Amino acid sequence: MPENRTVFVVDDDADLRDSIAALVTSLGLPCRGFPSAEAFLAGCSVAERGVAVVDLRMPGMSGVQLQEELARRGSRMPVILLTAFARTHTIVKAIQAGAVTAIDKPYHDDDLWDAIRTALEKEEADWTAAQRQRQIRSRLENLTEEEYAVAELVVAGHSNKAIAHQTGAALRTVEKRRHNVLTKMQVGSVAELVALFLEIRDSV
Amino acid sequence: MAGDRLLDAADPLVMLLTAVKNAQALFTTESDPKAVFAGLLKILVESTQSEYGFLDEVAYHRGRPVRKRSLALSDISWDEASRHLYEQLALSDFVFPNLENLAGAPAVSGQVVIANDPVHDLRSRGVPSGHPPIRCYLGIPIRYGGEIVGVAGVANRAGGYTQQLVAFIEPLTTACAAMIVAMRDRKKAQESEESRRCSQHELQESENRYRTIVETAREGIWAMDAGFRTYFVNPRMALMLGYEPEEMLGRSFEEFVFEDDLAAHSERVAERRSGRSGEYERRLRRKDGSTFWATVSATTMTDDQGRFAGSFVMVTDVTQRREDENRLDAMRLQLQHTSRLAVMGELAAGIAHEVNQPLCSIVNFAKACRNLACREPADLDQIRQWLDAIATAANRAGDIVHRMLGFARREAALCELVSVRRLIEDAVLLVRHQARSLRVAVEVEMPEDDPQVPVYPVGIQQVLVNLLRNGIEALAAADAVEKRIVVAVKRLADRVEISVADSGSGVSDDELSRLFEPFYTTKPQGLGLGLAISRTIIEDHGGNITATLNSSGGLTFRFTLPTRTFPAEDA
Repeated sequence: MPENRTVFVVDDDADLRDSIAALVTSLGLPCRGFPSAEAFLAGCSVAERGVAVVDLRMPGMSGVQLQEELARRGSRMPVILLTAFARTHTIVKAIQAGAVTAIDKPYHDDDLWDAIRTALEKEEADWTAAQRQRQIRSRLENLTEEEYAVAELVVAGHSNKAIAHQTGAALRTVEKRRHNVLTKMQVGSVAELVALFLEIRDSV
Repeated sequence: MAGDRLLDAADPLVMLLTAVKNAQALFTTESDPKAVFAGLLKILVESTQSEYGFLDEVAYHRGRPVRKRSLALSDISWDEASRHLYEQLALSDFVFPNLENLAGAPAVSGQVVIANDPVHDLRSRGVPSGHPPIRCYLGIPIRYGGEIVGVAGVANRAGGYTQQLVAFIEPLTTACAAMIVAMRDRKKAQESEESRRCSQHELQESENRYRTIVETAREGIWAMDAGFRTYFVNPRMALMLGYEPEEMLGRSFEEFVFEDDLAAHSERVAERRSGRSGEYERRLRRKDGSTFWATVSATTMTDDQGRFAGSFVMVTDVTQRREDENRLDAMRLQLQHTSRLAVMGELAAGIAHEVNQPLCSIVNFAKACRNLACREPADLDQIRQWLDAIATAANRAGDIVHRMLGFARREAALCELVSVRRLIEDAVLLVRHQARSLRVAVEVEMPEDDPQVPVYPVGIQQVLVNLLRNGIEALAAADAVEKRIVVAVKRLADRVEISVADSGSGVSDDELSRLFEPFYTTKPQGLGLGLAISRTIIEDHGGNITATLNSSGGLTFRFTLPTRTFPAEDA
């Protein structure tokens, strides 16, 4: 389990908040409690890494509203909703979109921890994927306009000759640009280049 | 009195005395005095050598002689005229109301009247038509002690009347006096005997009348002695309890009273002993063990010395009415219970939430404890702390379940002294979740001291839940910026006033006036019984409930509860 992840507990019931904190800390993870969604938004930055365990029904902002607000602020923090078996349309949609996990109270002993672990793994995977995309994008940004055009045509499966014909550039120039693309994108073959492009396209 | 005269008249005197003696003897054996006086008159007329005469009794009014009644009268009906007069006298029962004449003069004056020339006598008023002529007249007052009890009169002696003659017939007049008085006493005795017999008859009749009333009355009649043992019941009373009247005699009233009512009964016994009457309702046990409801009207009876002698009781059968009332009560309780269950159903999610919270805490703390226990070295202090938290959460869950069950219970709970704070807390607990999900804030303002009220807690909680839910639902539907319900408690002299005010948009005046009507509702899915039931519950507690519009435009419900204990219900 990554050491720099925090479990944020947002619940107006102090007893329940304390008990979740006990569970989380007993497993060696840091835990921070907030009595309301508003308090959490005020005391936690978008950059923080971890998972939010949120009661669906609270005075003020609800759990679903909190998740929407997090998304609006660009946070990728997974949200675990604690519900009382009252799944409204909104929650179901949120769950289907993968934005939240919902756990009905009362839950069995491992349910919450399993959910936290799964959420943290997802957060880790999301974060890793996001990291890689940032990497790929920064490599793409190093390509010149002409090089990017050649890259797209290469990925589309055109030969150097066809590309030269389409772009009106000399074959030798196309070959040089193609070499530059592979080098700047840090791949050894056209197949690898195609895979990179697919990775980016999926995430957009 | 001249002796020579007496000697001369020895023979007539002996005759006279013998006649008197015979008359006296006759008087003692003869029940009809008429014959006796007729005999005396005959002697009087003959011994005075008169043509005719009379014997009258004098009647007094306020110490004065007022009239005479004939005891004996010579038959003077010799011709048509005199026969007519006699018949007239007979018609008036031979009573002579006028004493202002020769015949009446001796009674008025007390003097012997000798009128040998009656035509010119001032005392004469003449004679009625048909009366034989009076040539001379002798009237003698008949005295007994100082009292003139009668008058003897004779007329038409040849040669007129003298004082000597009066003296001569004195034994006769004396005997007359004695016999008049004796006759009078005898009559009086007869009359009193008669009246005694009469009143006895009346008594019998009146008793028969009362007996008929007692025997046929729709009310039961029950008489008890000083020890409250039965000495009389009418057939109706026995029938009411399924007994024969004889079976109840000698039995104590207490034997017919149910055990639960014995304490109340002995209060009534004390009341009767202190001389007070009373009317009340009481259950009595029929012969077959079933319950008979009676309105008892009991009167204390006392003897001649004013001592307590027992109780006289009239009993009316009110069993049917009581059974109707009981059935109605049962239906009302059933309705209240059903409505509570309906509320519970609607609030189920909230109730589940209240129980789930501590259950989740328990699961989390338990898991945490287990995790720590697996480590080396285990942080025992932390584990102990969390175990305590588990116990606290479990208690919280148990407490909530306990309160919920109390609210759902069917049977009417006992009336108990409960803190107002507790009542409000329990009610708020039931609606807290609903309030939270509809974003309504519920605030409770308690007075410094926590008043205690004698109530059926479930009933009052039901009222509070109804009022709170009404407020919450009204606010949820309203556009109010601030959705707030304030529950406040005010202490009055002998009452506590609890108010539930919302910041909603209120209702119209028409709606306000109809809020407590059964089946009146402004909610599409409402049944309209919540407030009607609430009012019944509050009024059963001796309080009242009102609804008004408050300054923020919303509704304020206020209800009162007496702080003193209920007056003991006398069954």
